[in-house]
Amino acid sequence: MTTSSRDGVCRPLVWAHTLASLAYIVIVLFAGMLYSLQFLSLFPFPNVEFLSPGRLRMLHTNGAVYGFIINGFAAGLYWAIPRFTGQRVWNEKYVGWFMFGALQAAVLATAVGLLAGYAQGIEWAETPIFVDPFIVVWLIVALFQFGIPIYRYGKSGPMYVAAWYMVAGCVWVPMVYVMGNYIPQFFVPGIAGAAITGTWIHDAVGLFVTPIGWGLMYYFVPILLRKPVWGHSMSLLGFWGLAFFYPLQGVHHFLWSPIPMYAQYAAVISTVVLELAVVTVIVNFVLTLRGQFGQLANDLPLRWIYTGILNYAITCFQCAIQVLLTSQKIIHFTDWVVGHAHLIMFGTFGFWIFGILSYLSPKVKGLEPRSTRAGEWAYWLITIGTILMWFDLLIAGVVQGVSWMSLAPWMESVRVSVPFWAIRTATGTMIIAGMIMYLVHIAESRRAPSAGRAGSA
Amino acid sequence: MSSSSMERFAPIVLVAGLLFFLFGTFWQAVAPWLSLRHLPYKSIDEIAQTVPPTFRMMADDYPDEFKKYFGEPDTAAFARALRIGRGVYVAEACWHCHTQQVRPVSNEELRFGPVSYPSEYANALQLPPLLGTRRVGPDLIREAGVHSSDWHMAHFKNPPAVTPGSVMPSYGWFFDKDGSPGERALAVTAYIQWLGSWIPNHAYELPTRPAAQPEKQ
Amino acid sequence: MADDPSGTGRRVYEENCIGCHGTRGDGNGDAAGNLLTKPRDFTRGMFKFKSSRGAMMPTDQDLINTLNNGIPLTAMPPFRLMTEPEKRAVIEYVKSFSDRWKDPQAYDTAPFVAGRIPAYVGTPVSIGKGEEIFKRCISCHGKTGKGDGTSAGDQMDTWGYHVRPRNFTYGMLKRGSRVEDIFTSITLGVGGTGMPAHETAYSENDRWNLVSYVLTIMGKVKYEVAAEDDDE
Repeated sequence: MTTSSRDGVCRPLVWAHTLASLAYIVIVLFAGMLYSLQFLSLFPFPNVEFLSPGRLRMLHTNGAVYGFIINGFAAGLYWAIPRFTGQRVWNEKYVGWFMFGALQAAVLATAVGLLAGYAQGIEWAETPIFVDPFIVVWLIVALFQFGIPIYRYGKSGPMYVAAWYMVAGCVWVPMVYVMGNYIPQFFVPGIAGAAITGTWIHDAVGLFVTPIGWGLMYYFVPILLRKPVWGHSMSLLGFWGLAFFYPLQGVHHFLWSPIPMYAQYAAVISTVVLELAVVTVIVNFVLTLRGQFGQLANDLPLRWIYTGILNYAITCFQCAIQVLLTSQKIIHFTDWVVGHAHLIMFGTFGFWIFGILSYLSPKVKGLEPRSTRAGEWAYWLITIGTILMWFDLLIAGVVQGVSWMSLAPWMESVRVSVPFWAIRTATGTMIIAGMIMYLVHIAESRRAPSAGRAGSA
Repeated sequence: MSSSSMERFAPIVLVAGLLFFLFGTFWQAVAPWLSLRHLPYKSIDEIAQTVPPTFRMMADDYPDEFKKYFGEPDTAAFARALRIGRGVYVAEACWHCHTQQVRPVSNEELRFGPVSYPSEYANALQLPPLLGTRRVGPDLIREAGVHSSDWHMAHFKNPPAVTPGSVMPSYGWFFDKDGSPGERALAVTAYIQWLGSWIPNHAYELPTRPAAQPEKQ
Repeated sequence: MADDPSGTGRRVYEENCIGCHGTRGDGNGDAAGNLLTKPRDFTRGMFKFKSSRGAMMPTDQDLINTLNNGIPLTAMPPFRLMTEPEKRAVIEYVKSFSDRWKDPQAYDTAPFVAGRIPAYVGTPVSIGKGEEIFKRCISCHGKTGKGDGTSAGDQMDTWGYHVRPRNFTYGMLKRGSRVEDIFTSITLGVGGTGMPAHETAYSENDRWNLVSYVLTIMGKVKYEVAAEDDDE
């Protein structure tokens, strides 16, 4: 099962991670859909312990990160790293397939553990405590699996910025995972522990998902556009801006809490300033696209990716506003934050994975990616669904925040939210419909195009 | 600046990057810990030394069930109830819809009670901390005694029946087959009734006065 | 039916009260079966915690107090955040469940108001006097105030539910959380239960002394240990 071609890519591994990623996102979407029905008092399985809405919520978030995103990124990394470094990963036959199996086992153990009631009380780290050591081992093995080819490649000259991001992500994530999962669980209680969990929540996004995601973008965007990224210096500027400001932001998840204000102020300021680094990255990618905007019309993977970049820009700009202590008075604890999280985790990183996977799925079979009718449906249903959901939850958040501030009875804030929650469920239905279309698209694009009606990219 | 000249600084930048990371983690995670390290830490057994009246009342209200699962309402039983109750609170993701912090803004003090302060979190029941980041239902850190235990039982069984319009799920599996409160129902109620029990929320207290007429020296 | 042209009272009732007190106000809502202290049956027009004497109707302020503070130790939660017009409207709606409200004879012309707390409440002397008087209460409330006196076991209230004499060691009382509320309960009794009025039986001083002793059982009288004389 190690059929590496001359480019050093182990195609079965890429395809296996692709399938796993797609399987998990379907489960994750249905878990989120079921959870959202509880908010409309339409939950179909009341009083079933193992399908409790609370437990499904944790399946929704953890399945998204550990099942969907890690598998999707792994597929991208197994493709990208050998192709731009010219080096094969550490070992496909044993390490690669072991990592694949171990990851799926860990995600399934997490899913079963969460539904059976063994959650850990830390946000984005609800993985049961007995699964955590295996994930740490997996992350360290992953560091070697993907770090070794990059190290060999780096010895031969200056490193391409994609490699910086990937290495940084692989180095950071085991450290922050250990910090976030163990220190507040066993050693540091209370408010100091909360500061650490905040740092973990944000590092999980900022020092793992973001750098790996951007690393993949710095590989796939030039490939899809067949030209280099606009500015290399600008790329490095964005990278170091991220490296400097991201770890300083953790406490912005607990603003106005009893955490010392110096940590809160630092988190607010660094979050606002990070916007500068984000702007350099966004400008870099938009300028790369300059002159080729038309390609978005026919090139589905590219369109997914650039929609993700647009959503990233929106989310980060939104972040710089919502993190202000004044905004926090209204929107903290509300659906605003839920909308924000959906736009970054799904609308950005999810879209990138959709783009990468729709590019890779035919590629690993030796076919060229092409647009299909189902693919178009998938793109529009998911994009419109996600944007509507984000906007709906944003307004819901403001309404809830103002309702709480007004000292109306608590149930008032629930009653006014129900219409927004109904819209959320409707947009979720759109996303699930789009997801089914996406699966159809993947299947179609892996069939040899019948002559004459192939819309090649 | 050409890209190659940028690359020449790579080792320096790499070290700087690591320092940035350490600095950020220090400022956000380590420094708050150093600042709050002096707060006296309480284990669950130390917390349980003060058995709140709600726990004793629960033993009177549900005598058979309480005896079956917890025995007498003493400190050992209370410690056990807190442990199990917080476990349920985490496993059922209560903390994803209920926060445990009152902020000094947005009239929260008027809605929930006194603003949260660091020392009330320095205990084993906030390990990991359960401050929470989303409020679908109200905050719970000042919940002790606001509702009675039988209210909580009826509410866990069917929240919308007690609070019309509530979107909280039912927790039928907290109860025994005959519908009487099971171990988890009693434990999680004991845990919720503990939240904020350290803050006097009743005004009965008379002004503090000297015990005896002190001799003026 | 009460005058409620805007329907506010009905709306507030349906949004907040219906789960326990029921559609018809008979205290048989969906949740009532799971509650130990049964919700008030409004159709009887009888109430426990009020400032009027005997079986007379509570004042609006009594009902507002109940809405604001709830009834501690029972499932009646506080509804502090309801607006004043909503509170008034829902009270009018509750009145529509019983015709007793229409009987002018059922009102107390001079509802009881507890005066200021005398300075001696909570002093050792007052507590000592209260302890003497409390001996007449132990058949129900028990020697240690745990509500486990010899005749505590078999008491029913007017609504036909089993009731227990108050266990003071819980540190909370149903009527309210002010010291004056204890005094009011001693003076007027608790409507519809075995707790009688003592307005004529005991002098005002005796009743306040009793309050001192009850506060002691509740663990609410705080004394400073006589301070060591510092060099200040």
